[in-house]
Amino acid sequence: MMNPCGQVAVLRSGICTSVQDLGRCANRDIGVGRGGAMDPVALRTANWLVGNEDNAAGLEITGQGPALRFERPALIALHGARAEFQDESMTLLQDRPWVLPAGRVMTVGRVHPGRWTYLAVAGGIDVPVQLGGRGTDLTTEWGGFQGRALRTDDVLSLGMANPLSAQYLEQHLERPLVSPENPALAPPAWLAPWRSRPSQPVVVRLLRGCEFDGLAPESKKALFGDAFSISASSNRIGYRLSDGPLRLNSDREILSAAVVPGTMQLPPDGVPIVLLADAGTTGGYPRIAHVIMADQPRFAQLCPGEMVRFQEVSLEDAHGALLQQSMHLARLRAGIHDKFRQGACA
Amino acid sequence: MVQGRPLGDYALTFQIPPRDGTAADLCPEESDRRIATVMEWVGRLRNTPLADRIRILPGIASVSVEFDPLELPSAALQEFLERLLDEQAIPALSRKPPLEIPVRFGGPDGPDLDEASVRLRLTPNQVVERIEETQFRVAMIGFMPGFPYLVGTPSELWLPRRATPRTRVPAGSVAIGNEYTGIYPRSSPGGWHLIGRTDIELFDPDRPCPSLLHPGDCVRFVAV
Repeated sequence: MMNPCGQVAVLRSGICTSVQDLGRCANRDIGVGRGGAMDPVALRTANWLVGNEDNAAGLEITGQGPALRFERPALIALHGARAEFQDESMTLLQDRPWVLPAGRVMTVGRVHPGRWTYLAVAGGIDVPVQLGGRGTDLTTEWGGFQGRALRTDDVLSLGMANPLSAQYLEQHLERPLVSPENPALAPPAWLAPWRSRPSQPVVVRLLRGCEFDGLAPESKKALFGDAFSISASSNRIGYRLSDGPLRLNSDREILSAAVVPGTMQLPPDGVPIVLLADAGTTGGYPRIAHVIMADQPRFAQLCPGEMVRFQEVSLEDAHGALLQQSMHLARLRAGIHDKFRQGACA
Repeated sequence: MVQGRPLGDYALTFQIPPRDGTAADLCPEESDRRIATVMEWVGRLRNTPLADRIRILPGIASVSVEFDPLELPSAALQEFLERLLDEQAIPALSRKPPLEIPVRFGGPDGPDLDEASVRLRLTPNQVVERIEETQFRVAMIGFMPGFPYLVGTPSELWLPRRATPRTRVPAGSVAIGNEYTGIYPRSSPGGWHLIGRTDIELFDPDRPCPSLLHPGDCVRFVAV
């Protein structure tokens, strides 16, 4: 049985490639936010495609991706936003596992359409667990790989793949990926391509926030009527929305209170901010709305300049959507697992 | 009775009923009452059988609870917590020996001290003296890991936050903003007035107790 533990050399880092898992679930009371993948559903799916548990650490890739050399044979998959994905000789498909022979270089190029794509490796990226997670907090510079995005010449360690992945890797190691002369014969993806280009504006569902009633009437209408665009001032902490401004009836701040990823704040300048993975745990700006949990991955995948329209839903609707998504993901996971167990020819 | 409200679809928030309606901690008694209530509520939440299935997020005058809505039913959880978090039997805050934090005030370590002093119509030395005389209390850890919101700042030192926040505040900076004093554990963006700097490590993820400070702790600053 092959042991695919090994190392990965970073030949080119990409714009902002960082180690992320599904985030941290404790220590909110000392200011530790969730962190982790901006699109947790995409990371989980990428992990399933290489036989990992949901929470294995992978590489979150955005903008322009990295070039990596795997020292030992590796089972990898790329899933999430679309991206140019190659090994040395040809294009690789996303949304399925690949076995890379030892010493092979793979590259991820431009990420588009969408914003965040995830490279999973069987065994996960092995960085120390800090406060219950392997995610990188890029703002306060801790966690993940040395608290920062990857740089050229970094070397990452991999964890131990589970037996099913190791077996799959061994079975497929001797097969050529595809015939380089005929890349059209590439084996199919294992799941339907990740959302094709969403029509604009994307509709995202919101719940009213505690301070929603403080909005001026015309701003309440605008929040659920107008289209907003994602501003260039957007990062892992949160996305500012262009357009607006929205107005509060009174100009007050609130006593600092909890915020969670998905919370939409309204600072004094009237430009809403939707907090995301690296947001802090508290804030002093009015919380006018929240993106429902089921829609957060879709919202996070929006790029600067893309348009979004908000739809108000009830708490019951939000939970219904989450349940539906959860059932869909359970079926997906089971289907991928079946393919693994069958040895999934080609 | 304490009323809970949804905070998005995977969290609930519980406000401490106000004595007055304004945003400032106008008097020490109110500030102490809030801190005492937050600490008591956090204690009760930590002692329920649900403790390992919720995340507790204390605020200045509220406590919120994050949970998995596919695992715990939201309405039932809210009801349960409303009964748990009533205002009965909140123990008063105890006096603790203050943690002394050595600070280099002014100069390159406190680039805003001079300007803040002018706006406060005090000399820089007077500002430093007021800070040193004060016994601060940690109201909340938030904004970033280990960042303490300290109450007790004398009202003559209250300043609105800077018009233009800095994109990079040096780690260890001691800062005043509105009615709070704070310390930035790591380098980060920040809008408060930097009056000094400490080398004490407020947040270390590898320590058994990662945050140096917790709500209810007493703090004094000592000029070095």
